[in-house]
Amino acid sequence: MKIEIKGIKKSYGKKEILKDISFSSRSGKCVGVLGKNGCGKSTLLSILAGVQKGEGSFKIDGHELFGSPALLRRNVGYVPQGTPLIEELSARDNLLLWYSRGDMERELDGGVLSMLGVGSFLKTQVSRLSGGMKKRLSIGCAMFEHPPVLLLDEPCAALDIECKENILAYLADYKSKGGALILTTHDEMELSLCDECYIMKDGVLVRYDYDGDLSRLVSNL
Amino acid sequence: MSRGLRYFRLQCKRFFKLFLAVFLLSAVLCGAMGFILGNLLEANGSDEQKQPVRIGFTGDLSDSYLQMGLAAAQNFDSTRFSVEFLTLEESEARRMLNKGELAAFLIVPERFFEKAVDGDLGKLTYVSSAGTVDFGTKITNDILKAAALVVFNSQKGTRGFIHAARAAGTEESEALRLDDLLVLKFVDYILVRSLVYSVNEIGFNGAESSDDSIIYGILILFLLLWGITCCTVFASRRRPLSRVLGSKGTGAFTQVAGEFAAYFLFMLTTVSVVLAAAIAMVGLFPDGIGRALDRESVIRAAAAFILPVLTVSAMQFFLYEITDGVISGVLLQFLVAVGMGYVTGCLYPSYFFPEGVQKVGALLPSGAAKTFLASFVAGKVHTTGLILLAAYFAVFFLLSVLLRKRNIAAEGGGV
Repeated sequence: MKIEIKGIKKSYGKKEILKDISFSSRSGKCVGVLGKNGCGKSTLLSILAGVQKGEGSFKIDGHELFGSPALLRRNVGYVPQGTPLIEELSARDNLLLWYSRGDMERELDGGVLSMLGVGSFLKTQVSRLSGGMKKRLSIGCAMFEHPPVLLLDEPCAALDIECKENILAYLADYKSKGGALILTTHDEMELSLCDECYIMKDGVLVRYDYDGDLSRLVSNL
Repeated sequence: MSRGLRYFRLQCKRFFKLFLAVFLLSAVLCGAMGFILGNLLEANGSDEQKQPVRIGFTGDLSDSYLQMGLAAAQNFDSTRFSVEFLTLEESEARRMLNKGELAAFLIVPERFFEKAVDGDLGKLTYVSSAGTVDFGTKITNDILKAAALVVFNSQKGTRGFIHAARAAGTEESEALRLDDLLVLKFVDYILVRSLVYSVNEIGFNGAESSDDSIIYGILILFLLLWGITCCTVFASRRRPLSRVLGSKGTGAFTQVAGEFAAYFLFMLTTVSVVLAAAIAMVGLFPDGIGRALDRESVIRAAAAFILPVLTVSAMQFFLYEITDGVISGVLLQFLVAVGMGYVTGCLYPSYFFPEGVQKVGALLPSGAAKTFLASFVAGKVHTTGLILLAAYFAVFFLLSVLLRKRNIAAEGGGV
């Protein structure tokens, strides 16, 4: 599966947020987008997820996803920053927004949801869950149609190391099974998952070869 | 089941999960409202329980007829519960007026009645205070001025009759007989003031009494303030879920429709609970709230409430959609509820306001709701009210959808 993203542009009034963003990836790979706060990383992901409108092209195996909402929905999963969950309800109720009862049971029994460990807190109200549990549940919700591409906006932000490891282990597994990841990050541990890194600066995406030298990376942001 | 329906079902579950919390907040609100309503109804209740307006009489009160008249008015007249006459010294009357213990006093000039018999009428001086003016004292003063003028002129006319009769060459015995007849008639009317006037309450829209106006006003205010109790429901609504739903084809319209329908059902249920309590109260307190409300009226009100609840809920939903936090949401709800309630006459009768304010008040959602509710309970359908309510609902709903659309596509990845 080949992913091609070309000429993504976005402006808010006269302010150009994204200027001709292009990159490509393929199944089993992870692309990391780095950059300072407010540089447009989240906007890029929300355009790719179909939340916001923007110019450009997003193709999977030559099929244009922009302009074909059904295809986009089927192929792309999106986990935004924050918690896309109904806090007053249980984890189970939240899953039932996306899964049918039967599908949820199946996924809990050896599927995506069991891998994420959601079964252990299924009946707990979301507001009582830890940040890591909420993130796992959010990913579980985004995986309801097994999308081949997963977009994650800072997936491990504000999580402790153990939680990060759990989530990164799941994402590594997803990648190993042929899933493509595009994530925005500020996190060193998340960078270790990425096969390709890009730095977004002044609305332009520049490829960056991350060699583990964090101080060099920071000076480039 | 489509995702829109699933979302609606979960929203219902969410709202009703918070029912107890909201209900406890509502109980406090209901208690406050019930207390106000009870006091207002009590104040409008039996004449004996009213705080009387005190009118002082000073000056030359030595005339036996005047003393007899005052004593009779104070003891036998049906208005003795609303107006109390006091005879006292002018200095004392001024002191009491300054302290707000008197509404006004009359100064009877020297030998007023003796001179009056001779057809030489002095002027009664009416003294009132402008320091404690509210709507009530203003109206009392105006009525008293008018009453004093009527009494003064009618007495002048009565006294003048004998002169006119003599001048016209009427026999003395006949003139005196007619004069006696006229004086007795006058005294009859003065002593039984209730025969001189009758009070017809036009109410608002000609459909209800002041008791009804108070009840509908309080109910609408209650409905407006109910938005505050639901802050817990709206507090945790966040943008990320809207964004994910949007990315999966559940757009702003479906989201707002699902959330609003659940909120409307929730509001309708809670209002029904309150009205059920009102029905029970009617049965329990037939002399209290039951005096102003009958069971049939309450059942009619329950049916009439559906449309006002729909519109007010849409407005509250929209207000929460505008704001981003609990505090700003609660403040906005409160300001809108109190502001709208005041202009519409839910806090104070709107017929005391300038005509322009009354017209604006009637056009506001709360005004339309009050008018519609009142006319529906009276067995009529107020077409303008109905159209206004439907139009407001459509406007608030569509504005909420537009705002949600904007929030979903808002800049950045905010939470």
